[in-house]
Amino acid sequence: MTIAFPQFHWAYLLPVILVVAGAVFILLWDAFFPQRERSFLVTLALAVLASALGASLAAQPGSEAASMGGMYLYDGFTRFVFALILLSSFLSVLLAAAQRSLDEAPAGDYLGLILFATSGMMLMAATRSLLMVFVGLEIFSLSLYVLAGFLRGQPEGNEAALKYFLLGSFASGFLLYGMALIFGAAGSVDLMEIAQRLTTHPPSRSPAFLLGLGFVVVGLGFKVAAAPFYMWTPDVYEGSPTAVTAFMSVGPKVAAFAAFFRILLAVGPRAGAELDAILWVMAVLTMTAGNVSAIWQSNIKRMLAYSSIAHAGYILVALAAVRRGSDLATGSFLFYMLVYALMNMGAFCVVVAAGARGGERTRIEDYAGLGYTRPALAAAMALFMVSLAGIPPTGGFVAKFYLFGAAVKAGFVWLPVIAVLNSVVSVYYYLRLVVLMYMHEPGEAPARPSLGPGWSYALAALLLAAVGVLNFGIFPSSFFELALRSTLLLN
Amino acid sequence: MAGQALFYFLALLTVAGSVAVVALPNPLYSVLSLVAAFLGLAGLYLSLNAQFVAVVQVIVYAGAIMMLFLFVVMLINLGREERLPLRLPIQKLAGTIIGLGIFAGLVNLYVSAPLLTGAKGLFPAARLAEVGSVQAVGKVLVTQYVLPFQAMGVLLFVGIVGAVVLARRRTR
Repeated sequence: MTIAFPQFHWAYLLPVILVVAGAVFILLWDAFFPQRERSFLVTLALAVLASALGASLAAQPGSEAASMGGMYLYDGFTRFVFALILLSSFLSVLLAAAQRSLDEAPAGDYLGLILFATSGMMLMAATRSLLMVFVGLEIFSLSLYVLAGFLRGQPEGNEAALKYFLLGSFASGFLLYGMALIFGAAGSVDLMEIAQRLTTHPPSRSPAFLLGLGFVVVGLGFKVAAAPFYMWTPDVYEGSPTAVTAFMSVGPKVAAFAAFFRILLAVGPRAGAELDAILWVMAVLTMTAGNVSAIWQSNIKRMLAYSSIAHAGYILVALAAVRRGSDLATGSFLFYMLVYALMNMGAFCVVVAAGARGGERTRIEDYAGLGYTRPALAAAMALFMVSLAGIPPTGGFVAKFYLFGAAVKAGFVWLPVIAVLNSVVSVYYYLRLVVLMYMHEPGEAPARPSLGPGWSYALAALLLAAVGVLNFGIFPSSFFELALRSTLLLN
Repeated sequence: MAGQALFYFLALLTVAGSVAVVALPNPLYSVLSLVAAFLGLAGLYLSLNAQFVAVVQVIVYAGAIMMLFLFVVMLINLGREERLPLRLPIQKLAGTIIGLGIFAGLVNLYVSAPLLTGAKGLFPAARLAEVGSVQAVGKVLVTQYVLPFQAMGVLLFVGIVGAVVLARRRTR
């Protein structure tokens, strides 16, 4: 028997291989030399992520022949999403190094798990095969379940990990069952082949296919925390270490949205009516539930959790427009995720930097008067809040502007209107924090919290996020064009 | 004739095992009945020429996973079944209706409604004989599916690392 081995294209696979190899190396190094300084491992993780970013930017988008039969697509979209995922894990590593409560924890373990999660997200975003989507999703989900409960001494962390694990496994079951039904109905796990089958056999004739598609939407909806599958989000975000929460609020969403996007492109043209209705309702429910619930929160991590749900709702608006075949929507979808990654992680970075050794400042009242005790930190937080609310001259405004504009151009009327109304609601709770920081006396606040040895990491993360948010707000066009050019797909 | 008799025996074993899982009062018996049902399923797979699936069914499900179930049942020391009171009176009725509905849907799928491609199944007996052997599965595993295969290695490794991280007690 002769076996034709597939051709590996190392230049395209290099970013993923670098991240996996880096994770293994860090774990082994920590096991063999546990007494060494943590800063070495942090630097190594940052170097691995930076070189993976360099490798993915250096590789020009490849051809169909290099895609290993659709298992690993390296197209413009993949390249942009890789950059996004690597950027968010770069920031998470900085945050993890800056967070005081992780000082005592074994650094190799959490850095290795962050890198493993990154590789899973990359694999999930860069494929046309439902099989790889599932494997990638499980790689990052498993890593995040463990990271959520990393601080085992804390009951909240244990609660978060258990909740995330049980509900996440359940959602994975839905996703896998849906994929199996789609495979049974269409005879393939390759999205391109499924799309071809759909052109000759309309999906409305096959209940199995539609049921499978519905289950896949449920599974992915859980990972991006879309309504009505978002109930786990506030508890898990509150209980996890803040650096992990920051990672969780960006990385999995980017990867799951990327997979969602590819599935929509494949089945969207043929299952239009059903998908339009589902996306419309999901988007409206998600942003409304997120924004309305965020108003009542007294814990900043819970508030940011609901805010991230609301932003998932805005991104769903972009996906609804993508479903209608709008290239502009694809570009604004990518650009929005880029800006969201920076401003959201920036906000979590301030939470980390404001924390002291004894404990974090998680109550919103803890931030009263921060403008006087820590002016630079408060200014950064104000910038991120203004950007999350979508007020110029920040990246959040521009991203929302492009996104809602694309939805209007795709023929939606009420969806962008509801989204804009939702943004108005969100201004209340974002700016409440700014008002608290600048117009209230500091409470019986602890003395100037010391950042400890990790201050330089926090500073680097803050600078990166703040400069990015401002830059995208004032000079958005070059990056938006980059996002638009990244819509070239191998589907 | 012998083949048909074998099929009915295996089918009976599977169905009776599944019913016993729900019906028996002692959780330990439930787990053992599930093992019987899995073995019946494995036999059915084998009679359909799906050798690889049959072997995996025995090793992974009947072997590893059920062993885990047994450990859990014995560790928490459940002698008698404990019934949680149903919160809503209609829960039982709704569960029955939904279960029957899904069953009817699956039967309908098999009897009438075609799949997208119009075929009644992706793997008729002739095709299964072609792809079901360990050799055929092994071949696609290192050619067509080599990347998912490698990625599964990463996944398993993450699982091990995660278990070790959560289980050990070490602080620096």
